Amino acid sequence: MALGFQRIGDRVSTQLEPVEQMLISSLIDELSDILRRPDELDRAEVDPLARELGLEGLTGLAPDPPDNPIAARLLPDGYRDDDEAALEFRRYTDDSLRTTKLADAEVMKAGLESATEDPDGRIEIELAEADHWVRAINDLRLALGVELGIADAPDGDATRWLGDERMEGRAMLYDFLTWWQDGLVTALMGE
Amino acid sequence: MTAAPSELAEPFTEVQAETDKPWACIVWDDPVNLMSYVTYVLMSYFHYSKEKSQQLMLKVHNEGKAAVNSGTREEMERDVAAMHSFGLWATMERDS
Repeated sequence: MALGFQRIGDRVSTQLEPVEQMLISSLIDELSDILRRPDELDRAEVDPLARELGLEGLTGLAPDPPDNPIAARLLPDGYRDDDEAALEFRRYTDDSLRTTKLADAEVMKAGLESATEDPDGRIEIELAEADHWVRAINDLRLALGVELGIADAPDGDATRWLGDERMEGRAMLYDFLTWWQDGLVTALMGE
Repeated sequence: MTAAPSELAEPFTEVQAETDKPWACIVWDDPVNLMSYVTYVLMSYFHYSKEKSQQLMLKVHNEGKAAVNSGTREEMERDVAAMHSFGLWATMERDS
């Protein structure tokens, strides 16, 4: 069974069963597919210097708010009640936000793969990498939260998905990630 | 969970007093984000003390939202974008 996160000096360590590692890895893949820019704009059109300076929003097209509810939650508007400012904000931030989230997911996925090489499924994370992990786990929880309708039933309704095998699995995974993330945050805060 | 209102009110007076900082970064309550995580994000990104971070987190939790920082429009856009990278639900508005 999984072991929660423990702080060991400048590292945190955790342990996963192969099936847990596999489920989380495949969830990361699903989310990364959602987070990739649908059109990938014509990147060739983006001035390489602008990209290097983080200014590609200046030359890129203004992306529409995402239709997918999971993408909409992970890439939210920066302004309420001002659609024009929200669109402008998205134009400057959408690409780098997606890039950050995809990079977080990639770091976590690479870390999970190290668990498959260890007989106990042990994973060690340098503190410098921990922010990637904690953000990536949070993104997975946010995505599952949208799917499970947590916003509508925040206190949870365990019977809600009875009989729906897929959603029961999602609900279990959500609970697992909640426990796991809380342990990571606690370990990082040094408690 | 409860917290004394007098303890919560204090950190905001100094923020609001600065009239040259007309924009605020607002964090909204969200049923998924853990209280421990929101506290961690505020400590890690803004370098707030644990106490201040917990007070702000509780304000978000109890009142539905809290201004976690104020500054120029550019500064607050940077903060809101950073909050989005952490998965917090944040928007910016003119500081009132």
